[in-house]
Amino acid sequence: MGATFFDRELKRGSAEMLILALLEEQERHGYELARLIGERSRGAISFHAASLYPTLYRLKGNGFIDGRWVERAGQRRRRYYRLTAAGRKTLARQRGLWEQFVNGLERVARFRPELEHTDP
Amino acid sequence: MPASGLSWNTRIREAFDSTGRHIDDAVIEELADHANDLEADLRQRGVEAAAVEREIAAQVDLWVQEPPMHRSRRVLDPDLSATTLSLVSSLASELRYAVRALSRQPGPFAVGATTIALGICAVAVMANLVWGVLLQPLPWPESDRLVRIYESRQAGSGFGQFGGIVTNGSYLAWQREPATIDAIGAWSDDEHTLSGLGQAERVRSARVSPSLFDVLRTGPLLGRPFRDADTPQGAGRVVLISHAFWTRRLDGRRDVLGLALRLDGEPFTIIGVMGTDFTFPDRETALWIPFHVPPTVTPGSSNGNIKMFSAMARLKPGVTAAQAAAEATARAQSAPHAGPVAVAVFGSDGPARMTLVPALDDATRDVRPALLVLLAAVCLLLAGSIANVANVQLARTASRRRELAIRSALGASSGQLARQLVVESVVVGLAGGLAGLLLATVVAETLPAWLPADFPRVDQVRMGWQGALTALVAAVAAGVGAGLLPAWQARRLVGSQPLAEDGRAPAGQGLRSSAARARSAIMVAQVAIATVLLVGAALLSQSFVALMRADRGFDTTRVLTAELPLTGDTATRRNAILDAAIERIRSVPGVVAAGYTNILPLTGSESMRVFDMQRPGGASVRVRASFRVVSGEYMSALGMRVGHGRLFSNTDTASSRRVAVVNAVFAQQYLGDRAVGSVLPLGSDEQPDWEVVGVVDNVRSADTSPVGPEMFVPAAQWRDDRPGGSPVIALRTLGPPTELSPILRSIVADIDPTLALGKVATMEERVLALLAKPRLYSALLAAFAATALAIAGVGLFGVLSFSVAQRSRELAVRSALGATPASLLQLVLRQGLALTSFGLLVGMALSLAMVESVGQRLYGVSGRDPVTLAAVALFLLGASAIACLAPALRAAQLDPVVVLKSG
Repeated sequence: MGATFFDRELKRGSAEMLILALLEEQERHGYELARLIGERSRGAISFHAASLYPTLYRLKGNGFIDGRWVERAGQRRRRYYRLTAAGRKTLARQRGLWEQFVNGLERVARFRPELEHTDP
Repeated sequence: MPASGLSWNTRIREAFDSTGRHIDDAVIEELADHANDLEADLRQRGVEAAAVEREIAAQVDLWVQEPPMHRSRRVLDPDLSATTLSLVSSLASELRYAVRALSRQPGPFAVGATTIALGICAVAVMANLVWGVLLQPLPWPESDRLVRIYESRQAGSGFGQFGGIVTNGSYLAWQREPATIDAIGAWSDDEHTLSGLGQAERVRSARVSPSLFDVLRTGPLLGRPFRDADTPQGAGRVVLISHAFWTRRLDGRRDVLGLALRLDGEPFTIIGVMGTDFTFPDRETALWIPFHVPPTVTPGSSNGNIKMFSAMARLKPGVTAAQAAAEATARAQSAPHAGPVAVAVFGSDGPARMTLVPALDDATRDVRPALLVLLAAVCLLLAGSIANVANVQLARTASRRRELAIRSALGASSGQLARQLVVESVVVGLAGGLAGLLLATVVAETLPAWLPADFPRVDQVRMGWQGALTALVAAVAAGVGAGLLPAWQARRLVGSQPLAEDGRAPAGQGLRSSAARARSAIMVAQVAIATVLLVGAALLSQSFVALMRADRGFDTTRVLTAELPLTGDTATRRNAILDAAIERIRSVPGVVAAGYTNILPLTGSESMRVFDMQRPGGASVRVRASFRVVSGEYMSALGMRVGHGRLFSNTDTASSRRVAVVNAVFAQQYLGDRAVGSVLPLGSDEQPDWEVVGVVDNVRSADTSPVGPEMFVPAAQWRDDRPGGSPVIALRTLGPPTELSPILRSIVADIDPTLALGKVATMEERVLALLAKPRLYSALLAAFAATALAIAGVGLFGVLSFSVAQRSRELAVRSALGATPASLLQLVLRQGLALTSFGLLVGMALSLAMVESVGQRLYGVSGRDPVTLAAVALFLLGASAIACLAPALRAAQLDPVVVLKSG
């Protein structure tokens, strides 16, 4: 369980940040979030869609994101999520923490992940 | 829209409802949106409808299983009753007190927690292994309805069986409109040389019938499963690839469908990719090729065509394996007669019998008894560590008599005091349990690497909640178990006179009090447990050593073997390649002898031949024997021993007289005393008579099974047909054999660059691989026994130390009255060894009673081997003498003046 436990916590933290970061760009619905995370990490982060919605509801409960139902002509209605001011702050803080963590990794393990920047 | 016609919205709603959880409509709608999007996406990528359906259904399952985020959070019930509250608060204060009490004496606490941790770790790992391997359902839907099929033939009063196979006649007879099964599928293992994707490599494959996917109720992740129209021959050859192969060799590209792979030089079109959990028949299998079970009679040919393969069926709901087996047997008996081939395969052409074994039992049957014995062993180990904690707690209770008496005088009820002691030992148990669980997760992570490669279902063993739950329950049980005895003891203390005393036992009471008797009884039990485990470990390791050293009829040292699969070649070309390779190998310095064979011993492959022969007396006898086609020097390369006559030589050529060599069992069974010179009517060659020129010692083809009749013919003379098996080169070397494997590879590549060597291994490595399981079991049991011994040693040390401390006044009086240090030393040692001897006797009696259950698994050693038992006894006495030494020395060095004054 040791490695998996660590893995899980790490993924949970990173999942929240990934969602916040994707919502920073524009409002999106759940399926789009799942697809983008898979695509942009080139499959490296296949965090399961099962835990996506719980994470979304948790973020919503904490007031970091907002959800609203949008109806478009000829389409099903969907719930779109967007970032709140509190979420924006949290994202900035989490980015800072991750940067520290990654810098720490680099100093200790000479590990430099290849980061792909998405334009905010 | 899902195939069932219901909308995803309805299906998701029903899935949640079936778990009794109420979910918000908005959440359901959102999840349904997700499902619809996923469906559209997968369809667009060309995934087949059934696969899409499966993928989404799996997704819905995951949503339903996901913990509570979908429901509203439960609010803590404000009406918590007052009694519950007071119980909780008193428990909390007891917990605080327990932690304080334990931290005042960290030594015994640490020892107790450590022994519990070791016990719990072992139990959790074994429980997890037993769950993952023996109990967890196979990864197919409704897998309890899957059965493996075995065919045998009645032979006299018994049945002749050959491996785990079914013949085409019986299979096809049952496949036609069966009443008891939904589907029947066939497969057989295969291997191919894959070329055209970088370096050529040998890959494991399986030929599977299209119906096998119906039996397993699964299909590819991408693409389509096999259809009846897919054939293994001709231009339309198709292949399914494993998920691992797809990611490893094809980078997981989406556009692999339609791509061609070259297998043994022939193109095969990829029609699908299997999911990650499809590891059939094992996890090494990378490719699947369609397999059609052929009829026994080919139209226009008089020859029967018997095929052997593995088969599995899915029972109809409500049908038992026995009912289905009855139908299968009846059908098989109505199938066309297999004739003499049946004798070759089954050793008899009596009526067929079909046996069905549940697929899970079948996959795990050779590890089940060992796993259960090991589980029993770790439970004993845990019992030993619980006893240890109980003992420490008993000792602490006795030395805390004053403290307990004061608390009783201050108004604590005896029940409260007892509960306090149980809470204390539960804290010890939980601390140990937590540490044990952490240790177990580390062990469980590395476990798959420790287990032999052919251990079933290793990939499905993960440290899950089963192991954790077992550990937790065991930890609490250990704590309660260890606390009950001291608690009972404490109740007796209350109300007696300990307050008036000084906390030390009066002279003599150190041994005779009921607490002391309880401690001694526990000590005896611990020694008994250690004895049982030690006897088991000693017997298993001896059995393993005997297996290692067993005479296999040839010399396993300094032999290198290499498989050289030559598929699709004629006998002449095969021999030309092999002869060329042997010629080159023999000129390599350090090679003593080199040859090749169609079947190597200890590999599990087999090739049988059956023929009728006139006995010297005139009677005809039907011979059934293993058949080996070997080159001239093969037997000397393997170090086989000649009993009579000679081995093959270079003078046995294609043009010389046909010769054969038989093993001792063959000679005894069919030829009698004058085997050399007899003639065997082998083959339909222009020269049907083969003269026996030598008799060799029996070579074991498998490990513990009895040796059957075996005959050898020179490859130079055998030109008839494919001899069965697959060519293996064997060479005897002067130095370490593995050094020659690169040279071997370069020689083969030099002869023909499209050839790839299969498995290259020394004969000793093959023996070791064969013995991987016995080795693992004896190593594990030895580790458990060592731990039990350590625990018993610590326990003995603790009990005696405590006894010496308690009896210090008595010992001082003895010393003042003239007892010498040596006599005091003897006194304590005698006490310790008496306990050990008693435990030893109990343990030996238990071992002898239990040996029946493991006796038949032992090789080369009797379960009642007196030498082993005596060695274990001596070892245990020696170990306990060491554990007794320190307390005994302390007793001998007591200064009577100091002790008596301090009182």
